[in-house]
Amino acid sequence: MWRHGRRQEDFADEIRAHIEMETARLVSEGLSKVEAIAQARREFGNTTRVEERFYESNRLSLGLETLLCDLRYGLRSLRKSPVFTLAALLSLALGIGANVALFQLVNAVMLRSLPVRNAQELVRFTWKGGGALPGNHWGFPSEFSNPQWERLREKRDVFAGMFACARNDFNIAPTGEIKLVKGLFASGGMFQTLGVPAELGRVLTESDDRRGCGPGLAVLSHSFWQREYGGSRSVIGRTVFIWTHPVEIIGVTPEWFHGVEMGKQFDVAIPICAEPSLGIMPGVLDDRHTFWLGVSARLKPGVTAQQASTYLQAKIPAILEATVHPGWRPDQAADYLKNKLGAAPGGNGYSELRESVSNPLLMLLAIAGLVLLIACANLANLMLARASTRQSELAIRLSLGASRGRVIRQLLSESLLLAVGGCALGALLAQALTRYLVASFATTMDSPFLNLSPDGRTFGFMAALVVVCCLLFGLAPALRATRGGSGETVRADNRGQTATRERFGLQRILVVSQIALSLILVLAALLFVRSFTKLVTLDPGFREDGVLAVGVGFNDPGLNQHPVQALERILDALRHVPGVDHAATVQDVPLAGNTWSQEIRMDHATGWDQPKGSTGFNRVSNDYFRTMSTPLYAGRDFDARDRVGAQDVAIVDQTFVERFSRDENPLGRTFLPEYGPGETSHHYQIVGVVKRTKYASLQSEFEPTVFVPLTQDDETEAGSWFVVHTRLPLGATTAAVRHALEGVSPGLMTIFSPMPDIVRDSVRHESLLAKLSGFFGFLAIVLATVGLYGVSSYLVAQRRHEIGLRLALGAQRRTILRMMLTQSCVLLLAGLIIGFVVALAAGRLAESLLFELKPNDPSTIGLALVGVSLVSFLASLIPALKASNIPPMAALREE
Amino acid sequence: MSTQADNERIALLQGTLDLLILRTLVFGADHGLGIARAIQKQSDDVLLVDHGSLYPALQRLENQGWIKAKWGVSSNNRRARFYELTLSGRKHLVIETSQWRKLVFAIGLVLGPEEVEG
Repeated sequence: MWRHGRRQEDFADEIRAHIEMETARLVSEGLSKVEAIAQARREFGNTTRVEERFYESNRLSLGLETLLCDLRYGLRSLRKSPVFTLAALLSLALGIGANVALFQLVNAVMLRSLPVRNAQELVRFTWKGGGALPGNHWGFPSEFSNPQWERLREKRDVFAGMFACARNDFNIAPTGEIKLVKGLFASGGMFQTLGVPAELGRVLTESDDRRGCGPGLAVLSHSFWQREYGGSRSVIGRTVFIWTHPVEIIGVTPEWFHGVEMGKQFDVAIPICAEPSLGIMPGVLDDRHTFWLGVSARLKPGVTAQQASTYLQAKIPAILEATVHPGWRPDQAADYLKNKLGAAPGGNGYSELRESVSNPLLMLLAIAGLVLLIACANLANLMLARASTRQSELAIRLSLGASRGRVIRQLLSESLLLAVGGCALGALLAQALTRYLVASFATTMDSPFLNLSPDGRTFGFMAALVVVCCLLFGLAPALRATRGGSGETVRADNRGQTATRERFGLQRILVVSQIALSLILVLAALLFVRSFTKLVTLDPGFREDGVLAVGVGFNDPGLNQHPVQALERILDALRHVPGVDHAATVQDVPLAGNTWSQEIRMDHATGWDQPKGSTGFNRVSNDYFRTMSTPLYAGRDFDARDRVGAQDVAIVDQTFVERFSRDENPLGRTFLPEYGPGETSHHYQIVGVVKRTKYASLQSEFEPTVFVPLTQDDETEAGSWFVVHTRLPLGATTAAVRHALEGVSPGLMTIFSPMPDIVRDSVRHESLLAKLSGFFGFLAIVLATVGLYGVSSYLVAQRRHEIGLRLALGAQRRTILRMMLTQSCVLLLAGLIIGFVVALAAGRLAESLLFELKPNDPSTIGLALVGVSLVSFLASLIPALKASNIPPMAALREE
Repeated sequence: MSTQADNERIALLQGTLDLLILRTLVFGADHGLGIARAIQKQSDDVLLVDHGSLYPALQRLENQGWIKAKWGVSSNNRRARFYELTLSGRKHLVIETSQWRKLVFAIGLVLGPEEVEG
């Protein structure tokens, strides 16, 4: 043996020498040669045993040697049964592949750190609740106002660096159709704090970010530089247009830096100070009630996030005090002052994607995990069946002296091979599935950017899956198969005996757990599919078919001066596009993300009502309701009477009437919005009532909604959204509309968004959940059915002789059928009860993901129960029928 | 495969047999049979060395580096594997011996004076 350079033969030699010496001594004492040898041997004892002990003492080499041997043996025995191997590999590949794909996404979205130096030192400033931030929340991260940031950045005692940033869409087209890229407002210290150098040129510094810096300077991301400028090194000093303003390019960031938001890659970064020149959010630098920035910092070495939190908590009251908006009501100001600030670990950056997809992803990962469990249970069943066909082989091995541990290891190495093979196939499958999942998170306009390259965590997850699977489907059958001990197993040849309860205990447990698991998965599938169906078949109060939303920015001095007339001109042009029957303007396209809401007081006969929660506001032109096919229930549409200076009017929806009207006729009543600081108050008179409509999203409850006429808008805006309804296909209409708008003015910035796309994008997470959980539920029931069928058939085969005997002795076929079915039904019932209880307990986890459906919805649970029972019953009926049709003589004669 | 019973046997023997082997080799190199006979003789035939344990024990001591071995020729001209104490084996023997004496003394104290059988 290599460890000490001594070989087995050498040891045997020594023992032989010992016996020879002893023999010689005995001969010299007068014994005959034969007697001497016999006595020497007897005195020494079992030489083989001693040699074995020597062999075993070199355990190190034993382990390696037998492992290879076991693996070879496993490979050979798998090759002998290709169908079993294929079935096992496939079901494992499906189960593991789904888990790996989802884990890769969870990893990319939730676990990975930003690719910057010492990402664990980064902290994100977060409001700890307890207060409110009254006002507008724009874009993302939308946590801090600029006045707050300008005071926060002075407090850096425990921080090595601090920065603020905000994502914003930038239009980089100098004119014409809008080309949106992912813009980033960055404070001057962002790149330095993160430790991101320039690949070309230079990055922004603190001195680039001073109030009054003009349109500022732009830093491009590597991918944007490659995409838009072909990676040209002469890009430095050239200009990029941001909302039609030329901005100088000063640098390009390295390829590995994608920004501070996971799931999005920034294209162009400009300093915060550039905002006033670009006019994207006018006045935002001084707005105390517009929260649009996110603030992060790098901790000084040795400082913990907890210490930073304490520090911030001490500093924030003074900052809040200094940034109270003078126009807030006293209660609003008091709420604002109650805010607490903390520092949360920020190494994984900001992510809007993380906020929206974490729950669906974790739910899907849990579902995939259950599917893998079912697959393992199925495999364990197959392994059991295999082990029982190999019982005589194992018995011989055991009786020839193999220890139980040795045989178990042999059987386990076979499972290990299967698990590793399944995992390798699964990893391949996972790549395709991951791409599909990422595509499902994409909207028509935007696809998430995620780093999906495998890392240590992914490999660790796969290794853990392999080990867990291997033990799950390999260990119990291996233990069972070797339990009998040698003598007992050799004798047991299954002949003429009744299968004992104990013998099939493990199989029963497996079948019960499979049924329980598949009930849970089928229930989950039904819940998510029904929830999705409810969501898409719900009447949102408008019809998206044939509606095209068109965003138009004027960017034309002639149009800018008379926006109302400009809108009229554009509307007129749109109405003349072939196929278009209605066109209107709307401030915020429903379901597209932006909303405007306010609290209102209703003017009742008894005086002003108290505010009752927020009310959605939207500004539309006449014909909007016809364009969106929203029925007008009472009153009138907006018309020429509704001008600036005339009585302010509003059309409200049904939900508004139900919430506020106190059974009075709403027409003619007036209400007063609680206006923000510096805004003039309007008394609106209700002139019409429309059907209830969805505004912010399909998922949220119907909220009271108020429509006010665009023609009474006294704030001029350099653009608006339009909606047109067309009888022609949307693609053709888009081209015609583009042409018509160019006719109005070549300087119009335009963007097109078909309403059906907006609706589809808004339910994409629910759609994904429904599709995948539906698929997994289907897979679960198929696997469970196969499992149940297999076990039932196996039980029939095992009891073939017994059944033959019963029939020969006069048992009715009906009795046999009942006997076999009772056996399966007991398992089925046990599985259903366990699954039902677990599903009820786990249902809470799904609650937030369901739309207008409770996880314990009785009809859905009933459907799942009936479905699983029916399929399982059928799966056990066929073997039972076969059993009752066994020809008794044939069964008996076989033995 | 090593079984539970096997382990216990080694544990029982290790303290004594190993110590006796080392002690025997203080007087010079010897082969397995010679060591067994020496122990038997020195103990007035009280201790009978189980040959089945002797050779694994020798191998164990060799693996630990307390003895070393080479093939040689015995006094009656037969090939045999001769064992010899190494330096570390000698040190180990000193430590083990003193520990053994302490143990025997301590056990003696606990058991008390010898009783005369009646």
